[in-house]
Amino acid sequence: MSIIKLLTSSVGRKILMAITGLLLSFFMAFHLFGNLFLFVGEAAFNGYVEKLHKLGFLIRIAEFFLVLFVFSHAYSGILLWIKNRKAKKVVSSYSKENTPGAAKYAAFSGSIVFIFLATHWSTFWYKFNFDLRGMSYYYVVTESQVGFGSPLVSIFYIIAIALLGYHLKHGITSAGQTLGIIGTKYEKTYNNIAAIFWFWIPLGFISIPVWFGFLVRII
Amino acid sequence: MIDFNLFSKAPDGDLYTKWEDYKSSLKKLSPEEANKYKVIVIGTGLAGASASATLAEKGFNVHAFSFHESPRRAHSIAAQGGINAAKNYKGDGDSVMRLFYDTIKGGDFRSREDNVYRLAEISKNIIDQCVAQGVPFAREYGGLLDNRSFGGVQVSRTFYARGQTGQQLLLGAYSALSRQMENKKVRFYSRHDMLDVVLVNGKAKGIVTRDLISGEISTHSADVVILATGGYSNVYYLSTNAMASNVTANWRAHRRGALFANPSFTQIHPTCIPVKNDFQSKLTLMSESLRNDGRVWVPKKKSDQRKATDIPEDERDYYLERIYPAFGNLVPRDVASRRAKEVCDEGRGVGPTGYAVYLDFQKAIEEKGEDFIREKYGNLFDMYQNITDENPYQTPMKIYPAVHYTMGGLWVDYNLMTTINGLFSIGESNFSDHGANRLGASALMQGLADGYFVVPHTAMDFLAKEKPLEKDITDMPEFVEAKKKTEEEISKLMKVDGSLAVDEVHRELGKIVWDKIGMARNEKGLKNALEEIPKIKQKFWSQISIPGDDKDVNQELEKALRIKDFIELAELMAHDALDRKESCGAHFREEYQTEENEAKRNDKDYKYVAAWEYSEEKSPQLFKEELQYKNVKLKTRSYK
Amino acid sequence: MNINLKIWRQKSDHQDGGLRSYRLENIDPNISFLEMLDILNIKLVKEKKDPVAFDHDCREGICGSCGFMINGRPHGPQKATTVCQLHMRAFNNEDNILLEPFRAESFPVIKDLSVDRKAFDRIISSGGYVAVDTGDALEANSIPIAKEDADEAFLSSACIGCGACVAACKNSSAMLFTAAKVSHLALLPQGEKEGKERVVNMVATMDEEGFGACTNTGACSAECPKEIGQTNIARLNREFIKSKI
Repeated sequence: MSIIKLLTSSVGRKILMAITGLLLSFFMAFHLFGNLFLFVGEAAFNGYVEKLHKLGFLIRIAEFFLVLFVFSHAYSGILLWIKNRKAKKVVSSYSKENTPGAAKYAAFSGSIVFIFLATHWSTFWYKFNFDLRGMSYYYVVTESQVGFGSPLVSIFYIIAIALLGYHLKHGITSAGQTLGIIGTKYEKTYNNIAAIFWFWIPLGFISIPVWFGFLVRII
Repeated sequence: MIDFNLFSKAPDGDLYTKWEDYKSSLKKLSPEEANKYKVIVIGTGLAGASASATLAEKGFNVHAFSFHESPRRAHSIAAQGGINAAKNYKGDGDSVMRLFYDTIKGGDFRSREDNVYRLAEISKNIIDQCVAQGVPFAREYGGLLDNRSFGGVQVSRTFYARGQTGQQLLLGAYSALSRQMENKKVRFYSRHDMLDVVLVNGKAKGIVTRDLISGEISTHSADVVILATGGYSNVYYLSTNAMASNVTANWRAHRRGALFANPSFTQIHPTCIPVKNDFQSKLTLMSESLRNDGRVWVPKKKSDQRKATDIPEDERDYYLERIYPAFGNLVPRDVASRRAKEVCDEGRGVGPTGYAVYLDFQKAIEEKGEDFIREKYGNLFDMYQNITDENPYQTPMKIYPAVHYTMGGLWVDYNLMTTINGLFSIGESNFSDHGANRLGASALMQGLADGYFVVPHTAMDFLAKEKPLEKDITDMPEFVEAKKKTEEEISKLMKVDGSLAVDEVHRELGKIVWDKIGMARNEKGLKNALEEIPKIKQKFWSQISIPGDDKDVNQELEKALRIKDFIELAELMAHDALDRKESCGAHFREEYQTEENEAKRNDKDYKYVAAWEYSEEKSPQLFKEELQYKNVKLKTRSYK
Repeated sequence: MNINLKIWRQKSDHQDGGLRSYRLENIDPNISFLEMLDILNIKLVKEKKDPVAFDHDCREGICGSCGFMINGRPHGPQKATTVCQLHMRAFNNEDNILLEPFRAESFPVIKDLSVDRKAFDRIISSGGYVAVDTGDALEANSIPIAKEDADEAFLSSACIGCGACVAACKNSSAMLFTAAKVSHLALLPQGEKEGKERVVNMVATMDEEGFGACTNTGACSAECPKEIGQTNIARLNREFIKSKI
């Protein structure tokens, strides 16, 4: 059986989702590392962004792969979702499913996260790359109307990241299962690391709009 | 009337090498030649699945039929305790000879030496085969296979997989069968009831079936037909058999000329959960292995109403240990059952009905710890608690005997062929190996021995001498007639427009069979049964009601077809029990007992297999196969 | 006790079904759930009405024949218990009890509460065996197997194929069923030889039969009457990945 055929089986698709999901999570950790320069100060943050921009070509390749991961993750997810809808003929008229919420709503939270990504790209990413108009990166994030200068953006950002955490809560443990880590001696370590990804990292992201969007203005 | 010559066809010669010599003398077919033949197997439990798989491996085209949805649902799956094999892994002096002797003795010298020796010999191959299939038998810490002991023997030779040995063995046979289904060598017909055997020129050449979903009656032809349809304990209504286990396939073969042997030899298992009320639909067995660590007792006083745990040690009667010091709680099933009935009849039984005895694990828990007991019997304890709502770790279990297995069945020769040419019978459906009483953990052994290692050789030999059918012959008049007969029977049943559910008639029948042809029988009771059963038959044919359509899923019709045959069988059982004026094994005639209330055998007059011929008008006709014991000495069975 | 039943009645897969109400009075709480249905059916037969069709056989929780939804849960409210082992004492007087067949595209309804689970057999046929012909086996003790491995293989092999996992799953996935068999054989040296093709073929059949994909929700194990665990699914995934490397 060819590798394509293997990958298009239900288990193969899950493995693809798990791998792309985990890679995206690593990217997220890296992304947060950069964002936290905001707390160090304007110069530090701008300097960091400048440094990234200097990588030029390399950064475009990385971006290409990130987009590829997002789309293949979503694509597999959608195909599986369709297959699953077909498999379940009629839902029991008295549903008492023993399904944890995070798992049940994974597709929903994933869709919201996707919408968030789209807006995120069209705002921050687009501005940073093509529409800076002399503003500093720091200013775009903390003060502009596409950034946390707008309370609406801040609130949407907080909700979306919270949902992302919820998505990852199921997603990362699920990836452990899909990649066969659960049930081995690495299970505990994996779950501890997973908690960093679905709890602490999203919390780190949320701290930014909470601080720059609201607290800094109140204090 | 044909004069049946009930010759076992076992070859002469040395018992120890007989089977191997015989096997090499049998005719063989190459896979290419075998491919020209079609084999029908009815029933896909241990015997049927293993036979189907093995015949398919040898190249035959197998058509396997079951009333179940899947072969994995067959009642073999419910066997708990284990499977015997003379491996002597424990080094406790076990051997093929010893297993052979234990089985003959356990059967109270009413089984055929040659068959039993072959069974003991094959037992070793079965374990090898099952382990190779991936059956997860229990193992010791060193990684080798573990054994436990069972009733009626003093060595440890029982292989087990917790309390689910039957399940694991059946799943093994089912996997072998599934592999052949994938290879297209086996075609499986699920949810099909077999309702007749079709004979062409005196040979079994096919069957009539009813599709339980569409209700369609169809005929199938083949070069040979193998029945692996299990036992008939459900004639008692309440038994440990699954709800749908039935005698129909065997009975229809019997009506077509297959003699039915020892029908009254039915085994009452001593450790079942007692009946609780009138709505009870079936009984649940607690594995006999529990008697390894559980001690059986009743209060010394009559109608003692105290809680079990309140009765002091010196007021308890551990009656099995008292009467049988050598075997204690591990006496054979028939003995343990009868003694339980006896103490209850004396008024010393416990529980709300007074028909139960205690099975107590207190001592084992104190000595070996609760964890040990949990590891060994956990699932059985859970099952007990679930059904009775009582915790057996804290209070003793209540148990009572229940019908569990039928030693009787279609008469077969050494080749496992019935008196109908080309019709074989394997596993519990034949009478062959257990005599008047079966030892624990021997049913699985026999089912797999017949299916994996005997019938594939003997059926191949039979087929090698037959010309394969060139085409489907279901258009022959014999098939058309059989189909018509079946359809008429069904339409007659559908027309009975009474007001009783078939289950109600079955329950009534069961009560008579249990009371008169149960654990203890006597002439008066048996004669009474012969008067009562025809009345039940009358009631059945005039008062039942089957709603719905016969060309549809109709579970009431399925039951009716089975109960109709049970009623006829019950009558034959009474005839058989009446004829055998002796007590042997599970057949206990109250008139024939020793002063110590043990079975009193009469080898001079009854050392035979009673094989009965069916007759529509007259009483059944008895044919005898004299049993010959050349290698064992006939002894009075003693477990003291 | 008295109970109010709502039961799904459907003549066949080609016809529409619906819920019908029945009331039973003076039910002994110590009878089993299926004995309660027996009582209902005898009553229906006496009224010359079509009795409720449901699958059942051993009534000891091992054959896997029985199984339907009771108040939205496969095999009803009690943990690690098949319908046949469930007793009326698990319910209260005047309870409303809703019975429906297992719902899945791959389990067509045969009649009322009875469904066709032959898709499971086809999954097993596609690889759930060790290819060893009768008579070709080695001496049983020639390959020692660590007790822990044998015990774990047993736990996986304890699956009764009832289909509760599929019914419990929001995706009607047969992953737990398939994984239990893959696990059982992967844990034993005997199963090693065909290990690679086994997992790939069984997963392919599972997909072809129209079962959904596993989204690791764990609902199957939560409802499994034999408590087959999620580690089986992880093991299937490991075997699947291994088969590609």
